[in-house]
Amino acid sequence: MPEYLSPLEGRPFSRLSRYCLCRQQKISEYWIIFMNKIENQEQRAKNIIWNAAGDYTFLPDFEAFDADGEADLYFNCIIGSVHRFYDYSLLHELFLRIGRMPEAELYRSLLWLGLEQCTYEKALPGRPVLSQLRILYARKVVDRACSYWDQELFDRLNTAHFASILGEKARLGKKEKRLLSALEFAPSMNTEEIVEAMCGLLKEFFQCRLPRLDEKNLRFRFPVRFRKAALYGSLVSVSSSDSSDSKKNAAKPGHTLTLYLPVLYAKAKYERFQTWLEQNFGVSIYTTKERRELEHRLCTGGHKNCRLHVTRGAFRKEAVLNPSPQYRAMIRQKEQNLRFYQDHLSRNMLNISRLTERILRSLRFDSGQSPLQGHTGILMPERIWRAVRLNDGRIFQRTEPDEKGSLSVDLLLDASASQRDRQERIASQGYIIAESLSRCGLPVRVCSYCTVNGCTILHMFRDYNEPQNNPRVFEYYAAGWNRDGLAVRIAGKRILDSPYENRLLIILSDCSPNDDHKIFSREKQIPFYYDYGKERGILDTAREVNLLRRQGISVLSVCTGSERNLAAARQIYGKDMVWAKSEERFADAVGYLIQEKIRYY
Amino acid sequence: MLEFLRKEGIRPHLIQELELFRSEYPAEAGTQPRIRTPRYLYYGRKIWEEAVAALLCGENLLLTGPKATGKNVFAENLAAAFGRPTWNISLSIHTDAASLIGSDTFINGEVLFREGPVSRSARLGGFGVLDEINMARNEALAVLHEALDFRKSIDIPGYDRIPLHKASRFIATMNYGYAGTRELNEALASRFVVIDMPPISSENLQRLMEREFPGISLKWSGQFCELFLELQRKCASAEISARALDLRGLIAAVRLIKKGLPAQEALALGIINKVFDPYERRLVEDLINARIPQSLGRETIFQA
Repeated sequence: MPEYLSPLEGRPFSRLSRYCLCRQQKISEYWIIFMNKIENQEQRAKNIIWNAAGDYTFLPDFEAFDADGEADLYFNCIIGSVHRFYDYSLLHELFLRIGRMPEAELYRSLLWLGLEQCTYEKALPGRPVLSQLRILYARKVVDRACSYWDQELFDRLNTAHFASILGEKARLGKKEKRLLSALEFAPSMNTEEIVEAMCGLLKEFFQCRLPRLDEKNLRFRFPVRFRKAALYGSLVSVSSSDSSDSKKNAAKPGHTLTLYLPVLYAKAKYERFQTWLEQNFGVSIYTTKERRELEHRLCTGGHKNCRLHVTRGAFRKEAVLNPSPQYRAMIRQKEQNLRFYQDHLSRNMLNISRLTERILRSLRFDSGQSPLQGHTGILMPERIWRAVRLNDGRIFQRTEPDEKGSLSVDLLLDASASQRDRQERIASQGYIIAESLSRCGLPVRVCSYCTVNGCTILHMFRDYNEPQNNPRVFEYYAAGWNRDGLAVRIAGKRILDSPYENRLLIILSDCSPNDDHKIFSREKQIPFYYDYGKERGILDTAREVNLLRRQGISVLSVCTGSERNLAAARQIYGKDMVWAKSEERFADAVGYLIQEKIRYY
Repeated sequence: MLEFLRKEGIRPHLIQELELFRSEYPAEAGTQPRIRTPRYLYYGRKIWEEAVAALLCGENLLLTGPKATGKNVFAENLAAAFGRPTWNISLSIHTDAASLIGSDTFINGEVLFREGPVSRSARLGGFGVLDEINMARNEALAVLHEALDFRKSIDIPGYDRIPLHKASRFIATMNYGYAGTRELNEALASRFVVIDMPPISSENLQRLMEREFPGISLKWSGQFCELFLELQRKCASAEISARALDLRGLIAAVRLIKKGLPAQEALALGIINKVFDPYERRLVEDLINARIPQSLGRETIFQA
C-alpha cells in the first residue's frame, strides 16, 4: 500500500499500475503500485503525461506502469489528457477526499476507470493513435485477467470494461453492470458533473459519504522550520556549545538534541559567536577588518545584517584537543564519506575516467589553432618567392591546436541540513568532479556553504593550485540553513578576484534556499523582512546567478535534490542544470554540461 | 516569389517598392547562378513585412531564434524576393578577418589580392548571409563594422577601399544561448536591426507540409505537425536536448514514408536515431508512439 501523505504537503500519494491482479500473487491492493520503480521509468511516465497534457509545469499525482515496471504509454496518455481536458484541481481535491476513506484505493481506481472512458472519447479526435493504443492496452488487461470468481470488484469491472472495447463479453453481476455503466462517464460531462457523479455513485453503491478536506486533521503541527530543526541535529549542537553548561551536555550526548529556537541566536554576543564559529567550522581566512569590509560590500540589499565566514576548515589547537560536538560529527562524517566512496570505488573510478575523458576531448578538440610555418601543409602564396629566390622551403603553413586559455572552475557544494540524507553521495560527486577537472589540468576550487544564525559559512576544501587537496572534499559536512543567494554572491566575488580569464562555477545544490534569517525587501512601500525560502529564496538566488552570468562567469548547477526541486532549479539556473538522479549517469550528465560550456571559451 | 508575397498578404506598397528595387538594381553579370529559387518558403506575414521594410531602408538584418525557426530559409527567401545573388558565409570560432574579406594569393608570379565572400558580395551587390554570427570571435568580425554602418565600405589594408554596392545587404543569423555561442559585441549588434524569429506555428507547419507533400492526408499531416510541436515543447521544458527537434529530419522522414517505408521506421531514421542518449531516445520514442500508430504507412498517409 503506498504511503499516504498529507494533502498539505501536496505530494503525489499513489501511483497507478495495472495487471498485478492475479490472486496467486496475493496482491490485495488492486492495481496500485510499485513504489520502487526505476527512476528512469518514472521520468518516462511523467514525460508521457506532460506531453499528453501539453503542459510541463505540474507534477503528476499518478503515473501508470505495467507489470514489468515499464511506463505504460496508453494510460499515461490518458492521465495527461485528463489534465488537458478537465479542471484537474477539482479532481485533485476529489482524489484527496477519496484518500481519506477506508477503501480509498478501490474508489480511486474506479474513478480512473470512469475517467479513462470519457477522456479517451475527448482525446481521440486530436490523437487518433489512441484507438490503437487502447486496443493493445485492452488486450493486455483481458489476457491477464483471471476468472470472475478469483477477481475482486475492481478487477471484474476493469476486465468487463476493456473486454467490451474488444467486442468480447465478460461476466458481471447485475449490480456490477449498473455500477460500470454509472462509472463510464459521458464525454459531454464537465469536471463538476464528474465529481458530482462520483459522489452520487459512492453514495448509491457503497453507501458512503465523501469526507470534507477540512475535517479531522486537527492535530497540531509544528511549522516546517521547527520540525526541520528538531529533525536535524545541526542547530542543536549550536545550543549546547552556546550555553554555559556545555560540559554537562557533552556528558549526556542525548541531551544535545534539543530544539533550539532560532530567535535566541540573535542574543548571542558577536564575539562569542565568532569563537563558536571558529570552534565548529574553523578559523576564518580573513582578518576581522577584511571580513568586515567584505560584509560591508556583500551583505547588502536583501542580505542586510547577514554575516560571512570563510574558512579552510583549519582549527586551533584547543578546538582539536577539546572538540565540540560539531567537530566530532564532522570527523565522523568524513569517515562515512570516505567509506561510501570506497564501497563504490569501481563506479566512482569509472565516473572519474569518463568525465576526464569527456572534458579532455572537448578541451583538445575545441581549442583554437595557431599557424606554424613549415615544409608541409597549406601553400602560402605570399611566401612562394622565398622558395624561388632564397631556396627557403618553408612556404607552407600548418596549424597546431592551442592550449586552452586560462580557465578556472569553482565547485560550490550546498552543505545545508536538507542535504543530510545524501552527504556521502554529494561528497563523492564533488570529489569526482574535482578530481576529473584536476586530471585535465584545470585549476579547481572546491567550497561548501551553509548558513548558521545569519552567518553564511564558506568552507574551502581546496584552492586552484592545490590538486593534492582533492581528498579534502570528503570533509564535506552538512549543517544549518542555506542562503543560496548570499553564498553565490560571495563565491562570485571570490571568483571575480581570481586572475583567470574564463570562469566556470558549478553548484551542487538541492535548489531549495531556506534560511531562518529573513530577507529584507523594499519592494512595497514599507520595508519589510520576509522569510528567506520558497519563492523569495529562489528569486533571490536566480537574481544572483544572473548577475554573475552578466559578469562573464558561467554558472552551472547539478541538482542533488529530489525531482520536486527541479522546477526551482530550472527557475534559478535555466537550462544550465542537470539532475544527478542516478550515480551511473552522473558523469555523463555533468560531463555534457561542462563540455557544452567550455567548448567555446 | 512576389506572387507568393502577395498571397501571404504583405502590404501592397511594400511589394511595389520591392519591385522598384528589383528594377533599379538588376543582377550584375556573372552573378546569375547565385540568384536562387528557394527550396522552402517562409510563412509569416509579420516577419516578412518587418524584414522587407528594414532591407528596403538599407538596414542589415540579424535574425535570432532557436533551432528550427527557419532563419536560413528566411534569409534565402529574402535574397530571392529582392532578386539578389547570395553569398553564404558560415562563421565558426576559427573564422578570421582574412577568410571574410580576402587574402593575398600568388597568380602568374605575382602576389595579388583574392576577394573573400564578404568583399565580393559587397562589390557585386549581393546579400551576404552571415550564418551563426555569434560563433565567431568578435575580433574577427570587427572588419565588418565599416561595411555594416554608414561608411558602407571595406578598407583592405594595403589595397583599395571597396565601396559597397547600393543593393548590397548583410543578413546575420544566430541562435542565442545555443551551446558554444558567445555574447555578440555591442558595437556589432548595433549595426543590425534584429528580428526575433518565432518558432514555427502549427498552421504554417501544416502549410509547409502540404506544399512539400501534395496529396498528404490532412489528418496525418496534422499529426506530424503536432508531433513536431510536442517535441518543441519538450525541448523548451528541458526534458530533452534539441537534437530531436529537427524539422529537416521530420520532412525527410515523411519523404521516406512517401517512398514506402513504414512511418515508424522512417521517423526512426529521421528523428529518433539522431538522439544518442538511450534515455532521451526512449522519451522521443514514447512521444512518437503516442502520435503515430505502428501500422501507419504510405497508403494511409498519401491517399491520393
